[in-house]
Amino acid sequence: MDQRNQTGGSTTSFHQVLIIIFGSLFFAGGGNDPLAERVQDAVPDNDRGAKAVAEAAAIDEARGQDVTAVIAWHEEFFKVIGQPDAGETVVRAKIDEVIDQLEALERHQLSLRSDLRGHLEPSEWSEIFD
Amino acid sequence: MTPPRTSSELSGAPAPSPARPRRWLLHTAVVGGLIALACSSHKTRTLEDVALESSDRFSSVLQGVVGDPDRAAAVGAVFATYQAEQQRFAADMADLKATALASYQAYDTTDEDFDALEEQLRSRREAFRDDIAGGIADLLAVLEPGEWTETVGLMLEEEARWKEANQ
Repeated sequence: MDQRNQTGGSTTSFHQVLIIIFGSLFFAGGGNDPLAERVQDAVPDNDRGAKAVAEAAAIDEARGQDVTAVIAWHEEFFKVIGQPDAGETVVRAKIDEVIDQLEALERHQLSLRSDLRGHLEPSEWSEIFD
Repeated sequence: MTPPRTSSELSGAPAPSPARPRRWLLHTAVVGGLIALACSSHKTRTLEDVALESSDRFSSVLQGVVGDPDRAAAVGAVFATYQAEQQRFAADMADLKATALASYQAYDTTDEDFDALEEQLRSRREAFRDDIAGGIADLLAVLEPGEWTETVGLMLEEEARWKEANQ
Protein backbone atom coordinates (compact mmCIF):
# COMPACT_ATOMS: atom_id res chain seq x y z
CA MET A 1 0.00 0.00 0.00
CA ASP A 2 1.13 3.51 -0.63
CA GLN A 3 1.97 5.01 2.73
CA ARG A 4 3.13 8.48 1.70
CA ASN A 5 0.30 10.36 3.39
CA GLN A 6 0.22 8.20 6.47
CA THR A 7 3.84 8.76 7.34
CA GLY A 8 4.63 12.17 5.97
CA GLY A 9 2.13 14.19 7.98
CA SER A 10 1.54 16.18 4.81
CA THR A 11 -1.72 17.59 3.64
CA THR A 12 -4.05 15.79 1.32
CA SER A 13 -3.71 15.42 -2.40
CA PHE A 14 -6.88 15.88 -4.38
CA HIS A 15 -5.75 13.10 -6.68
CA GLN A 16 -5.54 10.56 -3.88
CA VAL A 17 -9.32 10.34 -4.09
CA LEU A 18 -9.05 8.04 -7.05
CA ILE A 19 -6.46 5.87 -5.36
CA ILE A 20 -8.76 5.31 -2.43
CA ILE A 21 -12.16 5.37 -3.95
CA PHE A 22 -11.38 3.10 -6.85
CA GLY A 23 -9.32 0.94 -4.55
CA SER A 24 -6.05 0.69 -6.39
CA LEU A 25 -4.23 -1.87 -4.32
CA PHE A 26 -0.51 -1.13 -4.51
CA PHE A 27 0.32 -4.59 -3.35
CA ALA A 28 3.39 -5.54 -1.34
CA GLY A 29 2.58 -4.26 2.14
CA GLY A 30 4.41 -5.61 5.16
CA GLY A 31 5.65 -2.27 6.48
CA ASN A 32 7.31 0.88 5.31
CA ASP A 33 10.81 -0.53 4.71
CA PRO A 34 11.63 -1.20 1.08
CA LEU A 35 10.79 -4.79 0.16
CA ALA A 36 14.30 -5.28 -1.27
CA GLU A 37 15.82 -4.61 2.16
CA ARG A 38 13.53 -7.12 3.84
CA VAL A 39 14.30 -9.73 1.19
CA GLN A 40 18.04 -9.07 1.56
CA ASP A 41 17.76 -9.82 5.28
CA ALA A 42 15.87 -13.07 4.67
CA VAL A 43 17.81 -14.74 1.86
CA PRO A 44 21.26 -16.36 1.75
CA ASP A 45 24.11 -14.53 0.09
CA ASN A 46 24.16 -16.53 -3.13
CA ASP A 47 22.94 -16.34 -6.72
CA ARG A 48 19.34 -17.21 -5.80
CA GLY A 49 19.34 -14.60 -3.05
CA ALA A 50 20.69 -11.95 -5.42
CA LYS A 51 17.91 -12.72 -7.92
CA ALA A 52 15.29 -12.46 -5.19
CA VAL A 53 16.63 -9.09 -4.08
CA ALA A 54 16.57 -7.86 -7.69
CA GLU A 55 12.93 -8.97 -8.09
CA ALA A 56 12.00 -7.22 -4.82
CA ALA A 57 13.73 -4.04 -6.00
CA ALA A 58 11.64 -4.22 -9.18
CA ILE A 59 8.48 -4.38 -7.01
CA ASP A 60 9.61 -1.34 -4.99
CA GLU A 61 10.30 0.60 -8.15
CA ALA A 62 7.00 -0.39 -9.78
CA ARG A 63 5.03 0.64 -6.71
CA GLY A 64 6.38 4.19 -6.91
CA GLN A 65 5.65 4.33 -10.63
CA ASP A 66 2.13 3.01 -10.04
CA VAL A 67 1.30 5.74 -7.54
CA THR A 68 2.55 8.38 -9.96
CA ALA A 69 0.54 6.83 -12.80
CA VAL A 70 -2.70 6.74 -10.80
CA ILE A 71 -2.28 10.37 -9.78
CA ALA A 72 -1.78 11.29 -13.44
CA TRP A 73 -4.95 9.37 -14.43
CA HIS A 74 -6.89 11.21 -11.77
CA GLU A 75 -5.68 14.57 -13.05
CA GLU A 76 -6.61 13.58 -16.59
CA PHE A 77 -9.98 12.30 -15.35
CA PHE A 78 -10.87 15.65 -13.79
CA LYS A 79 -9.57 17.66 -16.72
CA VAL A 80 -11.93 15.72 -18.99
CA ILE A 81 -15.01 15.70 -16.78
CA GLY A 82 -14.48 19.36 -15.87
CA GLN A 83 -15.04 20.43 -19.47
CA PRO A 84 -18.18 22.55 -19.98
CA ASP A 85 -19.81 19.99 -22.26
CA ALA A 86 -19.03 16.95 -20.09
CA GLY A 87 -22.01 14.85 -19.04
CA GLU A 88 -22.79 11.45 -17.60
CA THR A 89 -21.68 9.59 -20.76
CA VAL A 90 -18.27 11.25 -20.69
CA VAL A 91 -17.86 10.49 -16.99
CA ARG A 92 -18.79 6.83 -17.44
CA ALA A 93 -16.44 6.37 -20.39
CA LYS A 94 -13.56 7.98 -18.55
CA ILE A 95 -14.14 5.82 -15.46
CA ASP A 96 -14.24 2.69 -17.62
CA GLU A 97 -10.86 3.71 -19.00
CA VAL A 98 -9.48 4.16 -15.47
CA ILE A 99 -10.87 0.78 -14.34
CA ASP A 100 -9.08 -0.94 -17.24
CA GLN A 101 -5.85 0.89 -16.42
CA LEU A 102 -6.07 -0.10 -12.75
CA GLU A 103 -6.67 -3.72 -13.66
CA ALA A 104 -3.64 -3.80 -15.94
CA LEU A 105 -1.54 -2.22 -13.21
CA GLU A 106 -2.66 -4.79 -10.65
CA ARG A 107 -1.99 -7.68 -13.04
CA HIS A 108 1.53 -6.34 -13.44
CA GLN A 109 1.93 -6.14 -9.66
CA LEU A 110 0.87 -9.78 -9.36
CA SER A 111 3.22 -10.82 -12.13
CA LEU A 112 6.11 -9.23 -10.22
CA ARG A 113 4.98 -11.07 -7.07
CA SER A 114 5.07 -14.33 -8.97
CA ASP A 115 8.62 -13.59 -10.13
CA LEU A 116 9.73 -12.93 -6.56
CA ARG A 117 7.98 -16.02 -5.22
CA GLY A 118 9.90 -18.17 -7.73
CA HIS A 119 13.17 -17.25 -5.99
CA LEU A 120 12.09 -17.72 -2.37
CA GLU A 121 11.56 -20.67 -0.05
CA PRO A 122 8.25 -20.72 1.86
CA SER A 123 10.04 -20.02 5.16
CA GLU A 124 11.83 -17.02 3.65
CA TRP A 125 8.53 -15.74 2.25
CA SER A 126 6.98 -15.95 5.73
CA GLU A 127 9.93 -14.11 7.28
CA ILE A 128 9.48 -11.28 4.82
CA PHE A 129 5.69 -10.90 4.93
CA ASP A 130 4.53 -12.18 8.35
CA MET B 1 -5.43 67.30 -13.70
CA THR B 2 -5.47 63.62 -14.41
CA PRO B 3 -6.25 61.20 -11.60
CA PRO B 4 -3.35 59.11 -10.21
CA ARG B 5 -2.72 55.96 -12.21
CA THR B 6 -3.42 52.63 -10.64
CA SER B 7 -0.69 50.05 -10.18
CA SER B 8 -2.12 47.95 -13.00
CA GLU B 9 -2.04 50.92 -15.32
CA LEU B 10 1.55 51.63 -14.33
CA SER B 11 2.59 48.03 -14.85
CA GLY B 12 0.70 47.71 -18.10
CA ALA B 13 -1.37 44.84 -16.70
CA PRO B 14 -5.04 44.69 -17.63
CA ALA B 15 -7.43 46.23 -15.14
CA PRO B 16 -9.04 43.64 -12.87
CA SER B 17 -12.38 42.42 -14.12
CA PRO B 18 -15.37 42.48 -11.72
CA ALA B 19 -15.03 38.70 -11.42
CA ARG B 20 -11.41 38.91 -10.30
CA PRO B 21 -11.98 39.98 -6.63
CA ARG B 22 -14.37 37.04 -6.24
CA ARG B 23 -11.79 34.74 -7.78
CA TRP B 24 -9.12 36.06 -5.40
CA LEU B 25 -11.45 35.47 -2.47
CA LEU B 26 -11.92 31.90 -3.65
CA HIS B 27 -8.17 31.45 -4.02
CA THR B 28 -7.69 32.77 -0.49
CA ALA B 29 -10.29 30.34 0.79
CA VAL B 30 -8.61 27.46 -1.03
CA VAL B 31 -5.17 28.31 0.33
CA GLY B 32 -6.63 28.80 3.83
CA GLY B 33 -8.27 25.41 3.61
CA LEU B 34 -5.03 23.87 2.46
CA ILE B 35 -3.16 25.32 5.44
CA ALA B 36 -5.91 24.16 7.81
CA LEU B 37 -5.65 20.67 6.39
CA ALA B 38 -1.89 20.72 6.76
CA CYS B 39 -2.23 21.72 10.40
CA SER B 40 -4.78 19.03 11.08
CA SER B 41 -2.75 16.27 9.40
CA HIS B 42 -1.89 13.44 11.69
CA LYS B 43 0.16 10.32 11.23
CA THR B 44 -2.68 8.05 12.25
CA ARG B 45 -5.00 9.17 9.45
CA THR B 46 -5.81 6.44 6.99
CA LEU B 47 -5.75 6.92 3.25
CA GLU B 48 -9.55 6.69 3.33
CA ASP B 49 -9.60 9.63 5.78
CA VAL B 50 -7.37 11.59 3.42
CA ALA B 51 -9.63 10.94 0.45
CA LEU B 52 -12.76 11.95 2.31
CA GLU B 53 -11.10 15.17 3.55
CA SER B 54 -10.32 15.94 -0.06
CA SER B 55 -13.96 15.37 -0.90
CA ASP B 56 -14.90 17.86 1.84
CA ARG B 57 -12.58 20.39 0.21
CA PHE B 58 -14.29 19.85 -3.12
CA SER B 59 -17.66 20.46 -1.50
CA SER B 60 -16.59 23.73 0.15
CA VAL B 61 -14.89 25.00 -3.03
CA LEU B 62 -17.99 24.13 -5.05
CA GLN B 63 -20.28 26.00 -2.67
CA GLY B 64 -17.89 28.98 -2.72
CA VAL B 65 -18.09 29.08 -6.51
CA VAL B 66 -21.89 28.98 -6.45
CA GLY B 67 -21.94 31.91 -4.04
CA ASP B 68 -25.70 32.43 -3.64
CA PRO B 69 -26.58 30.96 -0.21
CA ASP B 70 -29.81 29.28 -1.28
CA ARG B 71 -28.33 27.70 -4.38
CA ALA B 72 -25.14 26.79 -2.47
CA ALA B 73 -27.27 24.96 0.11
CA ALA B 74 -29.09 23.07 -2.63
CA VAL B 75 -25.80 22.14 -4.30
CA GLY B 76 -24.40 21.13 -0.92
CA ALA B 77 -27.31 18.77 -0.37
CA VAL B 78 -26.75 17.08 -3.73
CA PHE B 79 -23.04 16.81 -3.05
CA ALA B 80 -23.74 15.31 0.40
CA THR B 81 -25.63 12.43 -1.23
CA TYR B 82 -22.70 11.89 -3.58
CA GLN B 83 -20.28 11.98 -0.65
CA ALA B 84 -22.32 9.41 1.28
CA GLU B 85 -21.90 7.08 -1.69
CA GLN B 86 -18.15 7.72 -1.63
CA GLN B 87 -17.96 6.92 2.07
CA ARG B 88 -19.92 3.71 1.69
CA PHE B 89 -17.76 2.65 -1.21
CA ALA B 90 -14.49 3.54 0.57
CA ALA B 91 -15.50 1.39 3.56
CA ASP B 92 -16.47 -1.44 1.26
CA MET B 93 -13.19 -1.21 -0.63
CA ALA B 94 -11.16 -1.12 2.59
CA ASP B 95 -12.38 -4.63 3.40
CA LEU B 96 -11.57 -5.89 -0.06
CA LYS B 97 -8.13 -4.26 -0.02
CA ALA B 98 -7.33 -5.93 3.32
CA THR B 99 -8.29 -9.28 1.82
CA ALA B 100 -6.18 -8.59 -1.26
CA LEU B 101 -3.16 -7.64 0.80
CA ALA B 102 -3.47 -10.77 2.96
CA SER B 103 -3.69 -12.86 -0.22
CA TYR B 104 -0.63 -11.17 -1.66
CA GLN B 105 1.35 -11.90 1.49
CA ALA B 106 0.27 -15.54 1.77
CA TYR B 107 2.72 -17.88 0.04
CA ASP B 108 0.04 -20.38 -1.04
CA THR B 109 -2.39 -18.00 -2.77
CA THR B 110 -3.11 -19.32 -6.25
CA ASP B 111 -3.61 -17.54 -9.57
CA GLU B 112 -7.26 -18.59 -9.40
CA ASP B 113 -7.61 -16.84 -6.04
CA PHE B 114 -6.22 -13.64 -7.55
CA ASP B 115 -8.49 -13.94 -10.58
CA ALA B 116 -11.50 -14.18 -8.27
CA LEU B 117 -10.30 -11.15 -6.36
CA GLU B 118 -9.83 -9.14 -9.54
CA GLU B 119 -13.37 -10.06 -10.59
CA GLN B 120 -14.72 -8.78 -7.27
CA LEU B 121 -12.74 -5.57 -7.68
CA ARG B 122 -14.05 -4.97 -11.19
CA SER B 123 -17.61 -5.56 -10.09
CA ARG B 124 -17.34 -3.07 -7.23
CA ARG B 125 -15.58 -0.48 -9.35
CA GLU B 126 -18.28 -0.72 -12.01
CA ALA B 127 -20.98 -0.32 -9.36
CA PHE B 128 -19.18 2.76 -8.14
CA ARG B 129 -18.81 4.06 -11.69
CA ASP B 130 -22.61 4.00 -11.97
CA ASP B 131 -22.97 5.84 -8.65
CA ILE B 132 -20.34 8.50 -9.36
CA ALA B 133 -21.57 9.15 -12.91
CA GLY B 134 -25.11 9.56 -11.63
CA GLY B 135 -23.92 11.78 -8.78
CA ILE B 136 -22.02 14.09 -11.11
CA ALA B 137 -25.00 14.26 -13.47
CA ASP B 138 -27.18 15.31 -10.50
CA LEU B 139 -24.64 17.99 -9.59
CA LEU B 140 -24.46 19.35 -13.13
CA ALA B 141 -28.24 19.61 -13.17
CA VAL B 142 -28.26 22.07 -10.24
CA LEU B 143 -25.25 24.15 -11.37
CA GLU B 144 -25.18 27.16 -13.66
CA PRO B 145 -23.03 26.84 -16.80
CA GLY B 146 -19.37 27.27 -15.92
CA GLU B 147 -19.65 26.62 -12.19
CA TRP B 148 -18.60 22.99 -12.45
CA THR B 149 -15.67 23.83 -14.73
CA GLU B 150 -14.56 26.63 -12.40
CA THR B 151 -14.72 24.30 -9.39
CA VAL B 152 -12.70 21.57 -11.06
CA GLY B 153 -10.20 24.20 -12.25
CA LEU B 154 -9.74 25.49 -8.70
CA MET B 155 -9.22 21.97 -7.37
CA LEU B 156 -6.64 21.26 -10.06
CA GLU B 157 -4.85 24.49 -9.15
CA GLU B 158 -4.91 23.40 -5.51
CA GLU B 159 -3.40 20.09 -6.54
CA ALA B 160 -0.63 21.86 -8.44
CA ARG B 161 0.22 23.83 -5.30
CA TRP B 162 0.14 20.60 -3.26
CA LYS B 163 2.56 18.97 -5.68
CA GLU B 164 4.88 21.97 -5.63
CA ALA B 165 4.87 22.04 -1.82
CA ASN B 166 5.67 18.34 -1.63
CA GLN B 167 8.46 18.24 -4.21
